[in-house]
Amino acid sequence: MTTADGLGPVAEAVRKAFVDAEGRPVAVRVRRLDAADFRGRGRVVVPDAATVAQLVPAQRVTGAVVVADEDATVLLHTDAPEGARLAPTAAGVDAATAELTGTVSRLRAEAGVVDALHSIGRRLTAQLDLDVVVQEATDAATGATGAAFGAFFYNLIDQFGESYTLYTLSGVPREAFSRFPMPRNTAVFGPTFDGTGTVRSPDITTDPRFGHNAPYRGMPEGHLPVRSYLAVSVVSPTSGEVLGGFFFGHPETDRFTERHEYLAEGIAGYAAIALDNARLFERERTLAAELSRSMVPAAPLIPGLDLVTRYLPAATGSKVGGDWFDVLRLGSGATAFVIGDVVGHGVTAATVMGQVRTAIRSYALLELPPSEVLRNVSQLTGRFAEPSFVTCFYAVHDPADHSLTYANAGHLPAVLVHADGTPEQIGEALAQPLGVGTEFPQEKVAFPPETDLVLYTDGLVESRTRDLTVGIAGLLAALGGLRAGPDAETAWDRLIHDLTGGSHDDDIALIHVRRRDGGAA
Amino acid sequence: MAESGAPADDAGRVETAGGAVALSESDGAAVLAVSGALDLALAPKLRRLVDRAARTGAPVLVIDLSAVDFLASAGMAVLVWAHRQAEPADVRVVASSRLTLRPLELTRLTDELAVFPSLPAALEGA
Repeated sequence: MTTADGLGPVAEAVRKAFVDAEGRPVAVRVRRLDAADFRGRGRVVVPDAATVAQLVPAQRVTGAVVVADEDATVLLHTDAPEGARLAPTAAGVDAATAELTGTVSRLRAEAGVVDALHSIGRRLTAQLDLDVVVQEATDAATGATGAAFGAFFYNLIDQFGESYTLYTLSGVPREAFSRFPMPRNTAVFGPTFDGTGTVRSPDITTDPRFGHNAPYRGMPEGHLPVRSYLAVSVVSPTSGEVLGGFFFGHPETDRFTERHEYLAEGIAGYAAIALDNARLFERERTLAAELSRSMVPAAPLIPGLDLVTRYLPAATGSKVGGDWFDVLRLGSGATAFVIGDVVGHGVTAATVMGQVRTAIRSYALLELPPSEVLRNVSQLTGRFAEPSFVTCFYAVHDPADHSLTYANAGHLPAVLVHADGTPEQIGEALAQPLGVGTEFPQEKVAFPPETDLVLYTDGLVESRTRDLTVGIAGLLAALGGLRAGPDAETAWDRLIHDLTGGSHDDDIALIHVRRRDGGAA
Repeated sequence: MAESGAPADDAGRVETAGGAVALSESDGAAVLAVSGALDLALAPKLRRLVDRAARTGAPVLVIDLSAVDFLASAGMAVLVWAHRQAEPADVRVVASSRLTLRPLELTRLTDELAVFPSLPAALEGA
């Protein structure tokens, strides 16, 4: 808003008032001044002769005006004979611009509010961590309303479906409230918890709704003094449910304006979106974990076989949902072992996994040979609405002839650990994944007593920082020792910890089968 | 949900915390240079750039995995999907290190995909 000379709009207008008797412009000099010297004296000042002499020493000055606006404080002066007529003009300009100035500063304040709201909104809605959301929102709203302190009470649902209330505070230590019970649905708090409207009071202690409820009849002893009161509901934009409420207080009366109310409502709106996002995100994560966990079978007891099985959902991030295992007793006396991994994560992967797992169970119970089981399931998988990519190792142990027959759809090789402790990888790169491949050749090996079979998913051996080849080598090296120990369950917990460094960012599923000596044949 | 990677220069390049894909043109072929981790986070972005490469009408698409240090199954799923699209008709994959070749071999995707040891070899198609 400055001209080519760097003058603000008011200074520019004043300069145009420097005219001669015929209305022609006269020469005007401009000198920048220290703003401090004229602060508080109005925007357009006609300085007295002594001041002028001080500001522009040793110059002939017939007229001078000081203009102070947001851009600069400047002295405009002239030596033209008509300069003396400036005073009334300056007064006119001052009067004319007074209202304009007020409007400009109101607009600036308005723009400031919009900016503040916008940046709070951006920060809040980009946040999925609930604790951060509520604290940031409380701090922002307390600052924006000029409250002495602010509180945000919000409702959460626990794992049993029960609602409970937590709160954050701003501008006051937690101890200041920790002795008091949660605010109840009283006449003062009711509208906020019911979501029926904002409550703003210049002095809540004189409000007709105040002081009706036992036991305190007002604020409990030791409560921070509150006169000015502002409370805003936080309502979910998706469900319309009241998620919580912001409460602001100030010990002096009449502190909250309509503008503060507007700001608090704006922040409450953003906080509602952020809370919704955080809850939905959390729900999706829990749902995927629940789905996967609920589909983990309890490995059946099978005569002649010792089994260790594990399903560990991803410990970090939200990648839960793709891995599974199954151990199935078949009608003929054989046992089928299934391990697999669905690409993707979350609820989609968990539901695809559920379908693939059920399909494999069905074909397995029909006692189709492994290559047929996988061929049929691959056809089904290829027809899912969303193309899927599923790796799966399927093996059947027949105790009648001490054999193991298997097919492998793009899954990691399984490991046979022979009686002397030597590990041998079997079924490596036999076929493409389910949903991709069409042919799944099967192989048959001897599986005599004292032999172990280990099936696992890639979370055990591979991560962003651990190369697959290195991970598999580590697993193979450890299996001999694990087999020799007396307690396979504990040994596996330790081995998983060692192989993953204690934190796995992908699901892990595994089956360890051991043929006992002299097992049923 | 918002994309975690900010698309740069007209979305011809996308990235995640762990990896990136950049689309360029070389000898009339579209080239998608992938780097870092081709995982669950990057795979859908690679898929969108494959679509975009297809729209350029280039008859050949090279997906260069030379700078990939982690090839997850989600990434392999996109390679298969790209290969089975009608356009571009000719999709070639550059994979030379154990880090990318081993997963492709274990899943036998090497049977189906046209895998080349280097970008020049892939561009030559031999």
